[in-house]
Amino acid sequence: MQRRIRTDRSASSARNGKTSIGVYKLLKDTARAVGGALVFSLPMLMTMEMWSLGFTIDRLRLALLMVLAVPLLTELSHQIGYEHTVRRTDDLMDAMFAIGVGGATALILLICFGVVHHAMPPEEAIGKVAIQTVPAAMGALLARSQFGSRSEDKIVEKKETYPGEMFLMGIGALFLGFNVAPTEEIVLIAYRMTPWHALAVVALSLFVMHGFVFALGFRGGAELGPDTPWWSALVRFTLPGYVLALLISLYVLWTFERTEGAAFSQILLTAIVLGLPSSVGAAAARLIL
Amino acid sequence: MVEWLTGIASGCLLLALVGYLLFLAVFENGEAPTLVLAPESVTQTAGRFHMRFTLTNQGDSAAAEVRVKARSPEEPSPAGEVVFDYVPAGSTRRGTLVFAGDPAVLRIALEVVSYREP
Repeated sequence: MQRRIRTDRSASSARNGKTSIGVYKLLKDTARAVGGALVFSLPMLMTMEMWSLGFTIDRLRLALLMVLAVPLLTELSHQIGYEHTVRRTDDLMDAMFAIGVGGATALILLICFGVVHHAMPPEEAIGKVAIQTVPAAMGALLARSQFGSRSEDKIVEKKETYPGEMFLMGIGALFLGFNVAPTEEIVLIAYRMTPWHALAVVALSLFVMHGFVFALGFRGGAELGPDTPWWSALVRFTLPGYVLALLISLYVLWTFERTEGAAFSQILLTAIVLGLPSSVGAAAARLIL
Repeated sequence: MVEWLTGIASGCLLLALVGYLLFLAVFENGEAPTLVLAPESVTQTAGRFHMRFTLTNQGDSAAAEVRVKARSPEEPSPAGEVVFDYVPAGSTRRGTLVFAGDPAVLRIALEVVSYREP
């Protein structure tokens, strides 16, 4: 009798231990995600233009951004996941968790800053939080690879693929592009530039990108080794990477309504200006992510 | 193979971009902003007349703080003004001026009074 009670007690304490480990892991994961969301979105949360974009942005464009964020974050979770055979539903859950954490972080901070308050129409508050949610969610998701891995014992070097490499470059471009695109300065720089300046920025972007590609030894279908000629890496990684960065810059500018009523040449110049940070983000993605 | 095809396609796009920029650099010589005003519509809301207009910069360089004023020969005092932060080359901006009376009766004329280089 005595013995039986003891076993029962130890079984229940083991069960308690298991749930407390589960709660501990959830808390730790959430804290890590909030940390990542803060690191990535604080610059945007404290940018005035982002607040006004919250109510001026075209609702359809905002909705498109939110909808696109789901497959984007799911694929990102797949790309940075350490486990080799991670299931797609797990990735989707990760993406949803990141969006939840990102949205909550943005909401709490915007309330603290007095940007979102009770006297505001709900549309405006929702717009202000929604536009911040995407970068914050990216940060929340990336925190896993930034602040240590989910399961240190299971680190398996993933096989790098060319589309995977391009995807990560795109995420890097989107992240840095998102950070600077809302500011007035991007369009202002474009207004002040002549086409000669634009040509110099294109050359500089390509040069900087190629430096990163070269220094980080990009992988893909074929590894870049010391015997790979420089032009091979330039054609296979730098040029597509830069075009990708420009296209993402155009998308971000369109989302933030920086292309409204502007001439074609002006849109192009603005995309080239935003293309500089975007291309640095794209090339450095391997370093950051 | 895919890598090379993507690379070559990107290279062609960038060449086109550089070509276009060179074309702009050679053939657009940054002449002064040419600001053209065009009234669009007049609507009456809550007893006031809202006059919508477009401002287009047909020149090659951007203008900042473009001040548009309305003048009426019927009333000596200036009828109102709008300031546009930036009007880049080739771009169109919209604005609205509000009047107590019908702009057609008041014979309102719009004009750009000042701007600066960004």
